[in-house]
Amino acid sequence: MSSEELPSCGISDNDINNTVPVSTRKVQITPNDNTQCVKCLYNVANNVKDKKITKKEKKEQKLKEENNDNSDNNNNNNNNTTKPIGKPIINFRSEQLCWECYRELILKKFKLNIVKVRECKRDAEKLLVALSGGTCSSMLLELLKQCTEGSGKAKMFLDIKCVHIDESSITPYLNHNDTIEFVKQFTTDKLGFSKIEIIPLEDILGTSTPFEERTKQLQQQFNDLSSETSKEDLLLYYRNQLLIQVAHKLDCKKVILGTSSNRLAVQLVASTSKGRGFSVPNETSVIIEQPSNDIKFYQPMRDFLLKEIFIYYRHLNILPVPVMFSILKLKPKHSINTLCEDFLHCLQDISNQTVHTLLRSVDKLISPSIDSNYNCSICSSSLTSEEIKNLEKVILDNKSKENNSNNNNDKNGCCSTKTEDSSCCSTNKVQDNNNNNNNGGGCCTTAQLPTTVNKETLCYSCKILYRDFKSTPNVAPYIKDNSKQLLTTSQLKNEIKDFLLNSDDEDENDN
Amino acid sequence: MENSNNSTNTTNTAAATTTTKKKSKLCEICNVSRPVLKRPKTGEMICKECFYTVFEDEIHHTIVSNNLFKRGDRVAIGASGGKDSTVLAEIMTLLNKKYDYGLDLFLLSIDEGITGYRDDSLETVKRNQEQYQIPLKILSYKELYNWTMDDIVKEIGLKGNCTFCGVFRRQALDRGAVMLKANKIVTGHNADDIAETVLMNLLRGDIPRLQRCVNIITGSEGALPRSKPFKYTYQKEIVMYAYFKKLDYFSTECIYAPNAYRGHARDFLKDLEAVRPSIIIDIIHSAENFHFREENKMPVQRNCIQCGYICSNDICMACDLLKNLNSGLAKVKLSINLKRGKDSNNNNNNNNNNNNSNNNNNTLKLESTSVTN
Repeated sequence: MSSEELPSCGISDNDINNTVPVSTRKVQITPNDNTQCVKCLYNVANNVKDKKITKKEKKEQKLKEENNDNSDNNNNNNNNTTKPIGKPIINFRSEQLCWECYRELILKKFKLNIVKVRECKRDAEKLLVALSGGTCSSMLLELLKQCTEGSGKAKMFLDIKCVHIDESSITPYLNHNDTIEFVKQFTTDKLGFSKIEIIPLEDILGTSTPFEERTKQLQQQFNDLSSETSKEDLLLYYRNQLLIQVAHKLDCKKVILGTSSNRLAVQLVASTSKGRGFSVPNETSVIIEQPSNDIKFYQPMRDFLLKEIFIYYRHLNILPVPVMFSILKLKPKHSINTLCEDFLHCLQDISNQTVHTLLRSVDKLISPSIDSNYNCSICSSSLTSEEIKNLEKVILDNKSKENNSNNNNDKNGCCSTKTEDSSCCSTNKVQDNNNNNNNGGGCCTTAQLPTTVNKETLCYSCKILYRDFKSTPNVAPYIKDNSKQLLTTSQLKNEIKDFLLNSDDEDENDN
Repeated sequence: MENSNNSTNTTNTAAATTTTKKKSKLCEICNVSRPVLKRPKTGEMICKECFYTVFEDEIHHTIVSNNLFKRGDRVAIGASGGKDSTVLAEIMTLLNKKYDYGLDLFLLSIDEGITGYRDDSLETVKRNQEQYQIPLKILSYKELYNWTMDDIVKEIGLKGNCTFCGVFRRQALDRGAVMLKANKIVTGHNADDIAETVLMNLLRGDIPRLQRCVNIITGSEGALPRSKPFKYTYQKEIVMYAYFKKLDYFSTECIYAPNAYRGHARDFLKDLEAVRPSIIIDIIHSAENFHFREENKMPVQRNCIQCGYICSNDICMACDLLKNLNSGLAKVKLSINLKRGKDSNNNNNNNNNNNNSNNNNNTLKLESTSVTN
């Protein structure tokens, strides 16, 4: 689920079918106005003829060929065609294409990426599609639908489930009812999918307590964050976490996101600025590995620019996307994310290669997995070896402290003992008993109810986020659980470390 | 009368509250003196003395923890007369005395031959020399290459001139250091410069440079490693230090450096910093944690067959550029380079080379070889 919209693009209901600008920014498109490029006509004619002769499977090759000899002047060779010459609608990477060709090309490119999702070709692949209600995710679903509808070999067996995460409690100023209505209509009525799950963001706090209470709690959490950047980031992490939970529930191993290339480029710059250099290559690739669990995220829309998506969507004439989005409605200077977005859109306007260059840069980077047991409690990206070392050091320090002061419930213990948390104490206690056993007992461990998050279990940038909380935050239970889990893991590792053959990085790189 | 009384009363109370406020606000480090500044890096309110201590200690820590120097090293300080290098000279002399590094320090200035810019800044450097009592060596493009930047600009115009300047300066610094018998060079690149370079290299897709640009020591494989003691030091703090210490520095932008693209990046970084002050360090942290795919091999180092300088081709960049300058082909060649640069959208590829550490622009090198081929 990504809020893919341009910050100020405000697509309105009426906009979609008309020739209104796709975005309010300068986008270099040729809209449906009177100017027609003759060269395009030739190209289209050529293209159509080629297609009639060859099979569908070779279309891609043909398209490439067509791309190569766009300079020649084949005159209207449409003698044996049934299709009329299309009107150019888009300047697609220096090619002026008509709607038909454009649609095919997009589908081709999309299939190249969606193939990566499929592991076994016989059984239907279970996919969870995250719909935000924005243009990108809507187009994603439409493309997936096309993939399953194709005839013969082209048909893919995909078992598609849809989910929408309702964030209305965090962003009350947005019209969420419209969005939800749209998402429902779009999936079931227009595309004919059976069902869509609407999951409220509150579910991140568990489902046991009453909904209103959770809403309050969630709002409190977000209000506690002093910067907009952290609010947006926390929302993203919660959303991803929820998606993982839903995927587990629905028995899907794969979550498909509709993130466009623009958004990924923005994410690259923003994440780099936030100190996430270690995990950003993973987060911006087509396949996002989740080191902590077996669910993978996919971003098959990575090759499409926003403007390409908008054009495509506009021509589909399906349903108008509701006016929405997003937190980004605020001033561009209010958060790192919006600043990056603004900056990149400016650069993209100056030179339309900016986004591609950025994504090519990040293609050359990787996020090595150091140890799949060690992941950030908030964003679940893997910790760097340095962070793991720090964590292990803290564990060691605590142990020695524990041994020294057995009577004192040391406040600086592995998790500072604060007041108990109502939301998750029950699970805590159970796991803490385990903790006790592992530690070989001792009265102090019982006192260390880890109801707060240990900072060492967070990655560099989540530490910054955590510091942003004005008071000791009552964060989502999953974070506390993760944090505790991680402490236990590293305590365990500490106990057995003498017997591990190679406990240093070299060995763990192979894992 | 009553009214005025009232108003005076209120002003009195207001004054009282402000004084109590002021009293309650002491320097967050020493808790004794009144704070005079908000530290750009952390936002702490601290006093002048504490600022000096923190600032100097941080750089000392950077130097020690990264093993930048060994006792007895002969260190050339690249001095332009600007704020960074002036503060660097001050700090290096100060720390050298305070912690007894046992270093021989030298000032090394390169005279690019830019009238109205470098001649003025060199005066500053000369004053610095007197102040810090360390030897100064000025090396000019004229004596090394027989070209001044003024001449070069006359020859090739204002496009791509920074390429020449950067390539030449890099080599000139090395040659100057050799003349001084120095075995290390320090430059005044600060955290802002490095963060900016990281962003620029990402935006350009320049992976080899992205790999190098955050290293605190570059060129360690050669005889003359360069280091950046200000790697974690904010530009604002450097300016603050220079301001409070009333250091004598020269602050004018080079008259030949119209750099739109870097300007964008710089403004962007300023905006980011306003939102979250730690962002500069965060970017550096990110870049330090970038892991590169194995196939991105670094170019193999060898020596230029003409001048012996370390490079990754047969002929080093400087010799190559010089050859073209002398044969009057520079403009033609450069325009090809620029054209290519535009094609791949790396317009201002080659500017501010001094910010990027090791070998000069790799892509540019490739371009130039392919042109000669």
